[in-house]
Amino acid sequence: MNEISSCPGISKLSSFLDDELDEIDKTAVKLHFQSCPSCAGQLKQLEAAETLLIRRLVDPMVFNERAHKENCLTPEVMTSYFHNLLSVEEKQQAESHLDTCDSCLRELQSLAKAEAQLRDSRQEPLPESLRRRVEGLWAKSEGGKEQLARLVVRLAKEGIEIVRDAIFPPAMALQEVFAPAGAYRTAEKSLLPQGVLLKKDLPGIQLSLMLRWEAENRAGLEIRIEDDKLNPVVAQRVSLRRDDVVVCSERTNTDGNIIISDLEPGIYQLGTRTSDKEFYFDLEIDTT
Amino acid sequence: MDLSDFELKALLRSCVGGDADSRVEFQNIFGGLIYNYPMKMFNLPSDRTADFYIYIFENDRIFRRIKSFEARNDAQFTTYLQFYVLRDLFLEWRRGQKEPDTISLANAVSSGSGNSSSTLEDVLSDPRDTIEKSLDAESEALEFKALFEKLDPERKLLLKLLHLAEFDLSPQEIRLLCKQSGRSYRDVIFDLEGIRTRLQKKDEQFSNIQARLESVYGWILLYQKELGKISERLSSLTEDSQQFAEMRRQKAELERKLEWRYRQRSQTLGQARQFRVTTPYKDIARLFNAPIGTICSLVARTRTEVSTTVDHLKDIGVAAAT
Repeated sequence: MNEISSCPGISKLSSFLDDELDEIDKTAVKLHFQSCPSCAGQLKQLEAAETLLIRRLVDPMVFNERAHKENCLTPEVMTSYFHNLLSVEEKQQAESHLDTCDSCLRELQSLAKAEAQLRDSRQEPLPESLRRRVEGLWAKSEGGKEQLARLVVRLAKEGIEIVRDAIFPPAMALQEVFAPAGAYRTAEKSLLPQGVLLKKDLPGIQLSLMLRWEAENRAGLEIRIEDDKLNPVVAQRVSLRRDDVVVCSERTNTDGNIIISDLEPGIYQLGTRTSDKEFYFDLEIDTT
Repeated sequence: MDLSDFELKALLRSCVGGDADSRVEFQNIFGGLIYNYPMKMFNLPSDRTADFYIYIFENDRIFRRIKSFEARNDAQFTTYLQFYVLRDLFLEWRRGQKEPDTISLANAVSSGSGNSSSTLEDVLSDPRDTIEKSLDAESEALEFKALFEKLDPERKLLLKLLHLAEFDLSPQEIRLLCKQSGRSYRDVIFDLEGIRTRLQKKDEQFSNIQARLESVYGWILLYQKELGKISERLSSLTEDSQQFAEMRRQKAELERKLEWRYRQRSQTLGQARQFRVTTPYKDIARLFNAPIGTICSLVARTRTEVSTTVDHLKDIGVAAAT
């Protein structure tokens, strides 16, 4: 590594100050300082002047409560713009507004700052006691529950058998389903249905529930939810509990369906919520 | 979070509709973020954080706030939740507290060197004690500000970008940067914050000071918002009413606290400026959409200009004390 024979010049000194030189150049400049007090002094002078200016400058950020004007960006637009979710036209409109509105531009800066601050900091886990306390708030505020039916079935070697049913008004359809269709007309007397279909109109939705025989000790459930025009209802939550423990809580897919398989014999409660009320079926699957 | 846009909308709709299972799911997804918000933004101790956490869920407050929001995706909803819903609820919660600021002012304040025995009130001594000193410093700051204002806008911007960890850009400077680089406001602001975050992580002590600065920044924004609301209410009340007098008292109290926070920010900034953390030229070049070589020469020329002018100020005695 060689010492620089001639003085490095202001550009190199400035880059040295900002640690922008590669190791070879950096060492060369350092060596040069040992023999050139003038350059060393110039570097100190540059640094001191800049530090003086920077330290004396008051941070120019002015904190202003956003003066809401009619055409200011709404929180929806602001957050959508920030996450690049606006259409080309919407984006152009937002940017035209930001061209002239200091208040919205500052809000965008603050939003970016808060986002970066929260994203990069370490997260403390939510204490379990706090989580349970909040869940307790909802249990109290939960609306009423209405039982729709109680159905007891027995899983046989090949097929399913309705042991008992209690269906509460208003009317609900309950039918046995044979597979293949029409099998019941030709089959032997002992042939059991492969499924039981229940249908029920609830406020705003129609719920169909097919309990299927899967194996001697296993049953499956096919749930379908449609609206009053028989279009599938997507993302409607349905939960299945066993002894008050949630074994499954899912939303209907884009076809309005949920499929649950491999259900062991037991006592289940299947519920869904609509119009601020929970509706449920009691379902007992037996093998004896 | 692995919710599709549709599932998110459905989840929010069910939560607003009162579905307990959906609310449990909402808490599973957003609970951690909500719990951490006041600690990260306002340095709130954990016992008060728990109080705030309960508060926002009581009486369905949080669900009433998100009722009319049209979520487009989970990231956008999270930003909305933190920046608008939680900020507003925090403000509302604080207003309902009997002694809203006692804890924050009595909190131990780290000196940056690891000692944390002093409190915010210790650090922020009575302004009357140092009023003359402040006036001198203020007049000197004005001279330097005038010097800064004399610089070409592009050089001024460059200098601030070089010290980005310590400065926020003004709206005019953001616009200039967007114009220079041909990039959108969103991209430029996003990039600026990314660079700032990286700079803050360069040194642990510096990073601690920056974390404190950000917390103070959060409080200042909050006080500003509250002041705005009080001013709005004051303008709708008659001057002889009891409520007007109460509002006036609250406003004065808030202005005092705001002044404390400004001074805390100024002091903390002073500590931050003891560190030499400059923005890499490659980042500045990207922001300007210019080659690194151009930035390198521009920085050198700006430094020379600053050095010459500061020498001149020293000659006329402005910076004699320094």
